[in-house]
Amino acid sequence: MNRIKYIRLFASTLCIHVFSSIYLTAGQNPLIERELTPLTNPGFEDGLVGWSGGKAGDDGMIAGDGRTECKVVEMAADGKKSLCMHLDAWVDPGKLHLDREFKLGEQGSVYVGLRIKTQGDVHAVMGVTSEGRGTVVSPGIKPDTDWQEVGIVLNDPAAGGHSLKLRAFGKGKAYFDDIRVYALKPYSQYIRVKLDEPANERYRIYVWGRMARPREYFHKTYFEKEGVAAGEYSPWIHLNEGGEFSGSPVSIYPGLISAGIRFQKFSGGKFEKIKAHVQLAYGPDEDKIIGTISEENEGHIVGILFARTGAGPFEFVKQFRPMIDDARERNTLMKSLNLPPVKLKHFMIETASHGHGSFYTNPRFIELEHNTLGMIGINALSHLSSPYRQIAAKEGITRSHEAHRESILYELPKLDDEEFEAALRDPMYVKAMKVQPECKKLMESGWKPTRMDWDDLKRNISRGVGAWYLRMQNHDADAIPLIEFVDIGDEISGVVFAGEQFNEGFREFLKTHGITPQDVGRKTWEDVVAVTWGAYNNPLPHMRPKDRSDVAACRFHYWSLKYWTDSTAKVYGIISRELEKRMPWIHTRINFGQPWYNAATDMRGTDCWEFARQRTITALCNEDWLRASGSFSGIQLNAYLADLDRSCAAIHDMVVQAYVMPEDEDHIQRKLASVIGKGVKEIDLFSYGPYYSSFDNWSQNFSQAKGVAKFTRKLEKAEDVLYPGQPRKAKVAFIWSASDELWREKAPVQFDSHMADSMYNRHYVYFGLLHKQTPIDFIDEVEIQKGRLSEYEVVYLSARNLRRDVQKTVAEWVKGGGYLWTDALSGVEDEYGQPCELLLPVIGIKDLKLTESRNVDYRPHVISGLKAQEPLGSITFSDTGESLNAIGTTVKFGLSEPAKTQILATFADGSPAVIEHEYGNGKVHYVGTLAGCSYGRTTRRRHGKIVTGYRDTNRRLIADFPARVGVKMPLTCSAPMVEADLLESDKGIGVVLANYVGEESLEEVRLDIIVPREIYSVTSSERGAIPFQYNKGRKSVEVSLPLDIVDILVLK
Amino acid sequence: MKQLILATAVLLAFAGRGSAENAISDGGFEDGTGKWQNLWSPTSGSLSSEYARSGKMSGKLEHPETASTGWLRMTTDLDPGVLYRVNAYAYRQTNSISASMSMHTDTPPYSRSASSEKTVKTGEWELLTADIATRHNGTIWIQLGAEGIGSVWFDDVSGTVLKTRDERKNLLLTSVTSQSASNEDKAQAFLDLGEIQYLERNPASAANFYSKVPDLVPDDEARCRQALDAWAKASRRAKDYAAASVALRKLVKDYTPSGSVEEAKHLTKLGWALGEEADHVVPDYKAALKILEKALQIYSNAASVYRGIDPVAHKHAIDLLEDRLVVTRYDINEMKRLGGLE
Repeated sequence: MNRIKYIRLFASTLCIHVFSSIYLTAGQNPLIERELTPLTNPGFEDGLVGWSGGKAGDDGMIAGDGRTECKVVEMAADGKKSLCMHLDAWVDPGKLHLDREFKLGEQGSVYVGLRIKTQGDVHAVMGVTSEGRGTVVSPGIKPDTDWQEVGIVLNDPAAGGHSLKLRAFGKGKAYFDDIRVYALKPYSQYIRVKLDEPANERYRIYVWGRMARPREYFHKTYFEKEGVAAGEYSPWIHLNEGGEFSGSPVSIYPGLISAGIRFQKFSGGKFEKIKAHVQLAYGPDEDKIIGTISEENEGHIVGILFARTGAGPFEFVKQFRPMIDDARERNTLMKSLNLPPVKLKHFMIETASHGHGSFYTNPRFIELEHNTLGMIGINALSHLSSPYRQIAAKEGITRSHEAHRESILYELPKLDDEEFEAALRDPMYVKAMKVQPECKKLMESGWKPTRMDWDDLKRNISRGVGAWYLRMQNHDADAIPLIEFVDIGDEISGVVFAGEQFNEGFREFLKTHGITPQDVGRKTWEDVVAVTWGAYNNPLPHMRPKDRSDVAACRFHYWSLKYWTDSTAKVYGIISRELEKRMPWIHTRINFGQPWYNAATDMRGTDCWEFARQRTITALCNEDWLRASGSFSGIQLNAYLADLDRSCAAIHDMVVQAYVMPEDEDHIQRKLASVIGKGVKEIDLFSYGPYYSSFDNWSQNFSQAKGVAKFTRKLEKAEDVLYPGQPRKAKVAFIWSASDELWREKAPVQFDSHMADSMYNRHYVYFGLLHKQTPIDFIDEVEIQKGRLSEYEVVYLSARNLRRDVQKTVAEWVKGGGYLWTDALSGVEDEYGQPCELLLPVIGIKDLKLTESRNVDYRPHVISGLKAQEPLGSITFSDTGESLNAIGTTVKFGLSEPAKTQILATFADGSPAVIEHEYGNGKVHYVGTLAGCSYGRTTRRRHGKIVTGYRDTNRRLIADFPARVGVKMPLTCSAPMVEADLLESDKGIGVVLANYVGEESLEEVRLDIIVPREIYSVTSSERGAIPFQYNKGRKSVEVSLPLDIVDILVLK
Repeated sequence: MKQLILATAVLLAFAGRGSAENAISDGGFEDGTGKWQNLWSPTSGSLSSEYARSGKMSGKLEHPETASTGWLRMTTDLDPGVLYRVNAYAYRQTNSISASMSMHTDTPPYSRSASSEKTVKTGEWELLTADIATRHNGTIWIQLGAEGIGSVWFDDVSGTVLKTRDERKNLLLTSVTSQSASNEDKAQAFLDLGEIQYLERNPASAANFYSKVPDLVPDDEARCRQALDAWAKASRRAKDYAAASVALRKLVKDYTPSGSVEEAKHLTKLGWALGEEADHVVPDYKAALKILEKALQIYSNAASVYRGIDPVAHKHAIDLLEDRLVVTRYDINEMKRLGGLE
């Protein structure tokens, strides 16, 4: 047999991979039975004969989008011609395809393949739609890719018709050629193994592989009873016996399977070193062998990669290879960037890397992976312990964090049967079970809520943390000093409490807040029973009183949720304190989850502000889960999260972290710049993986790796100034209303319903300020009541519900000289969902006439959401005559004090739409529509691109006010939409710039930066020293520079 | 009126298990042996229709050679704190094999147990009977045992209430005040009363009852250990943290062999109790500090005891005590800081 040998030599690993070269060609691929010819003109040599999906054009065809030209060109993967789709302007996914009908007749499995090439920012893919069976799609081809084979497998295709679809989106050219259809032999994944060394041993093997969710991992022992003698091949193993590795690699994750074949001594114990072979065959027969992987390594596992059956004959042969190839390829790719070495001394850039012990034991893997991570600029790894630790140290990775979940999962005391039965008799439990079958099911499953016995809680948690700490100590005591923080919760929901102690605690909690039983609709304190939130998250919105006139019920709802947060925070606080007792140097964090899912709020019993106030955790963190391909209000929301965390952290001067989720090369740099600019010092980049060892990872996302690598080098250049640097104290605060979170959804479906106007309105109001380089703090109702409004010159309020006492405080603050910005129906309800008119005289409006959209969906990322909101009229600025659309809500109003009111803009009927009203020594800027939604409604969203299309005119509604009242910003920028954040310390000033204008570079960005002392140099991390002008009189520095994606300026 | 009487009767029937009602379902093996586990020699047991005292089936234990095996089942839904009489019937053909019934509750370390006499008759069904009071979870384990060579059949296992919880309580209260009752009887009565009070969520009263025991039977080590341990537990539940420490200190001092594993365990418990006591005397930081310093010494002593016995075998326990020392030192510093006592 004609075979090629690939021999790779490493310091400690010999790896030989042998497979047949003839398998790479169709004619002799052993999985192919014969070629079929259901299509004429498969190589486009006869033009576009047979193709549909568009209209005939001058020189080919115009596709269904009415614009894209599809024609046959003189460039080919095979023959002379191919089909070219020329996307001369951006085309969204799903808009463009050419179709070709064909029939197959009765067949076994069939492979349909072709080759695709892309030029420019275009993605291309093929699919086959079969009558009554839906569509199977091939793997996609990314931008700027040379000719590449893609295909799909149709298992027992229907005798009816099929339609081959060629698709593309983006901007550029996609070429398609050489369509082929093959009948396939039956095949599956079979392996057998041979152990050469140690000789004279008997062994069994254990296979640990990735499979698919929900089970995720495949694990099975083979030859358990009889063992296999070294020196001879084992019997065949049908790895895919249960169908775990079937299916299309596009629709089932992971597409490529990785598995560790562990050789275990039959007598027990580990092999320290092995020389072994693994063969893959498509049937249990020597003649069906596809390849052999031979490895000699310091360990006892041979890692292999192989394809799913649905990958088709070519990938099935090609993808059987040593797993270490994957590690090496990524390492080679990073090296190919030729980036200078990087070593951040202070900022923590962390990820997670797994796999030792399950997918490999060969230390060469760790060396390769850590070398790759070191090149990216990672300087911290979660769960860094032996044997990772020592190898990581060689790459300068010496920092770590650990997770502690045991206390919450296993240590909370539970109710006994009698207590539980008593709790179940409470009407709120009865209601919950009635409105939610899942809740009833849970109650009957043997599950028990937590008993609020603080003695037991403290004792159990102390014991749990102690046992956890001891496990670490016994595993690798030297790893403990590397731990900088402990993660004690991920996207948490509140602790599910019930029982008499919980009720008693609620009564005390209410008393502390001055609430009587009568206030919450109960006769006596005995009648006051706390709600067991959390056991039935789903019905939470259904538990909210529908009848707002039942004020007592509304109060009860509000306070029962407040109590849930308070109780939960106390539990996590105990965990933090117990951790600090063992490791006094660490900080603790919870990854709260995003508020747009109700996480980090009372709706999940986890209001992040209260957690910060109670010092439940000592670092604030949230993961963004934002991608440019369409997440909520866009990836800039990670700045919003960072500002929220920073504001909460400021309560006790705590650490600010950010969990920055993977993106592509440019966007990850933007996201990193955003959070660094907001004062984040520790960044968690989620799980690197690697792919072969874990679900949810970014190891194969080279674009992200490249982006992080580029950013860390920029960061390193500015680290001495940026790390000690803090944002200059913001003069503008945005009110974070916990009350609004409780009532914001107009038609909640489930606990994390997120359609509300007020929430997205706040996002876009925040963006309006951010886009104008306005530093923003958030401030919640409790902090306001502590008197902290005095720290700010301007306060933004965009929340229908706000605590009544807070509204009074805001009114007093304005009267004393504060500047309030507000819009639409802010503050028209209190914390109990009751009407409240306290702010109307402050705003200077009366006789409100309201128009509200009937569409309650304001989600920016869905078609039926914000984009579908019909304008409710127009607003025209009096000074410039510029107009914009009012969205979601319009409030027509009369002026309560015309003499003290300036009208800045009017509705189409001439009535005031935007006003400024003088109240006491202060002023209120009011917009009679949802200013944020109006700003966000004009945006353009394109797959994989940042959100653009924000209008300067609409932004004026939001961002003009601070300047109008004379608030000086730390810097001004000539280009709106450039995120520009200033961090300063006695080491100097850093300015972090991120281009959110668009994908293209900006030729010139001019900055005017207010500085406290004379500046002698300005250095750009991208361009080195740049010219500047220091204005002594204004104490400012003016610089001008081009901006690609991100840049960091250092002023000294 | 007739309807009302009927409704009341129904309610009463469901309000509590009547004294004559059988509390053990399917004790006659008519639904098979699914509720029973065959112990020690899992092939000795089978469902049999050869003999049945009632119905058609019985549970058989067969020993081809001399052996000791049994049927075991857990009954979880009995009323807590109630005294039950459990009956079972056994049949054997020869006296080469004997049958008996034993029971225990499942709340160690002080689980109750009770046993019937062994069978004496052959060729006829014979009653095996024993009484047991359930503890707080209402669970008992019933074991039907056979010993020797040959076969035994069991049938009609039943449980009836002998004394309700209130009846037991009244009897026990009478007993503890009775002039004629011995100190041993009184001590047991106090233990049982304590248990009932704890069950009825009255831990302060339970602690009071338990605390009487050591003075009555100071030489009955088993009872005193049980009482002191339960006293500490009940005191803690009653939030009398100082009393919990007193009980455990007495347990260590008077009823624990010096240098034993038991001593190390009890010292550890005492350390925890002192930590909790300190926690609850805050804001009296000075007092808290004093208590924590004692706890520190106690943990240290416990670790020394383990080390003296076998430091390798008790490594995990020693590690945990080292952890307690770390935590307590931290707490001491914290108390100093908060109380301005540095």
